[in-house]
Amino acid sequence: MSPRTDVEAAGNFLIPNGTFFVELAIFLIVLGVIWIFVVPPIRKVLAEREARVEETAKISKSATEIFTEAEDRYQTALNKARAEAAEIRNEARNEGRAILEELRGEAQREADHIVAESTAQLRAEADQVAAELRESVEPLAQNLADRMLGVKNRPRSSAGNQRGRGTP
Amino acid sequence: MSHTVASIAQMTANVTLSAEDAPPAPSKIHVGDHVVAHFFGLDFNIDTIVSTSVAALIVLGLAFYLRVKITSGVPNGVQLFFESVTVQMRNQVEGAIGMKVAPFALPLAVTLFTFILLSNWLSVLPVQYGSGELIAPPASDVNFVYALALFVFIAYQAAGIWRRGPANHLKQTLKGHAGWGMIFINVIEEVAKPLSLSLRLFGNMFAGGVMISVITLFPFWISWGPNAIWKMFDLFVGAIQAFIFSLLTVLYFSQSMSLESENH
Repeated sequence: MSPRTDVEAAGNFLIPNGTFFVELAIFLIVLGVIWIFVVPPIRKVLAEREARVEETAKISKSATEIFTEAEDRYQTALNKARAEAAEIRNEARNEGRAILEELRGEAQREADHIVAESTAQLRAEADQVAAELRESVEPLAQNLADRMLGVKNRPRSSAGNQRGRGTP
Repeated sequence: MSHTVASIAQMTANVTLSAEDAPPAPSKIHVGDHVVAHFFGLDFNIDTIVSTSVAALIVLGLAFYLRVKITSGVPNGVQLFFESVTVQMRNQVEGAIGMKVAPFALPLAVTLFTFILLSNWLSVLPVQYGSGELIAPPASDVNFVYALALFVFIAYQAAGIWRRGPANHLKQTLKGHAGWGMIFINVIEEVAKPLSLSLRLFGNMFAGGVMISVITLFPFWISWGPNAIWKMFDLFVGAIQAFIFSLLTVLYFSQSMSLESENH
């Protein structure tokens, strides 16, 4: 068979021809562009993103620590304040009780004093009234006794004497 | 069944037989046909070059868009895509070799994945003329896959020589893990690596094209259904193949760069 250029390519399509070099050149161009313009910036971006994620994780961790610490501090302060408040309350209660006791005692004393004073006064008044009454009863009795005995204008003597000598 | 066998036979006949022996009723399925131009005594498949250029332009467009818009804040869709690919490939490189040992494997893997992925996904465009696609995936032409695989082969051999020294690299490649008794198998394995790497991708994408050609043999009021289903599956295949290609590249790098003391 004479070699014919127009059937050469169809001779066996597993045999490469000049296209091979063009394909290789195109591939090398693509490889070069991706090697220079795609992979390095992508790797840089990925590294940046990883660094940022790491940094964010670190910040978040430190924030958690700070938060825990602040919470601890808050809790301690709260407990301290609670204890202080309880102490103040107890103190106030004791003070109040003391004041109450004192006032109660004072009132009791005053009341006792008033009662005593009133008693004394009443007793004095009673004595005075009794004396007055005795004084007025004696002449009245003398008068009555005189009337019954028929004695007139007898000199007034003491009631005791009168009563002792009343009967013979 | 016999019909299928017959059409496959016809297909092969179309490819291998010369014009004189062509069957009287030519099949509608054409395999391995390319629009060919001749320069400097070489043949150039213009359609493959055009579709590869389209894929390359899309990748370059995305790359430059990314470069302009890149931010460490909220990424846009393109950046998210490249970031996911980079992170995925970085994990692969880190797991297989170590980013400190082979940082150059990362851009290579990223490029292979995105370039092959977009090349393969070109075939989803529902632009058909005549019996086939306007833009066939470049990987359905062996020139594309050979170029990639050969580059990868040379790159990982060079990386092995750089890491282990020329003599040591040759010795370890031939000796392998199992000792000198396996030298023959090791040679075959070394040759099979780039061949399987390239032909796996080629076979998958080429088969996708053949399937489309077969589907277009249906009347138009039937073919849209299988066509849609197949193209969705082809998207999946294209992504898987792109991933496998880049993953195997990383693994081959790790094999050729492993030091003897690391082989327990």
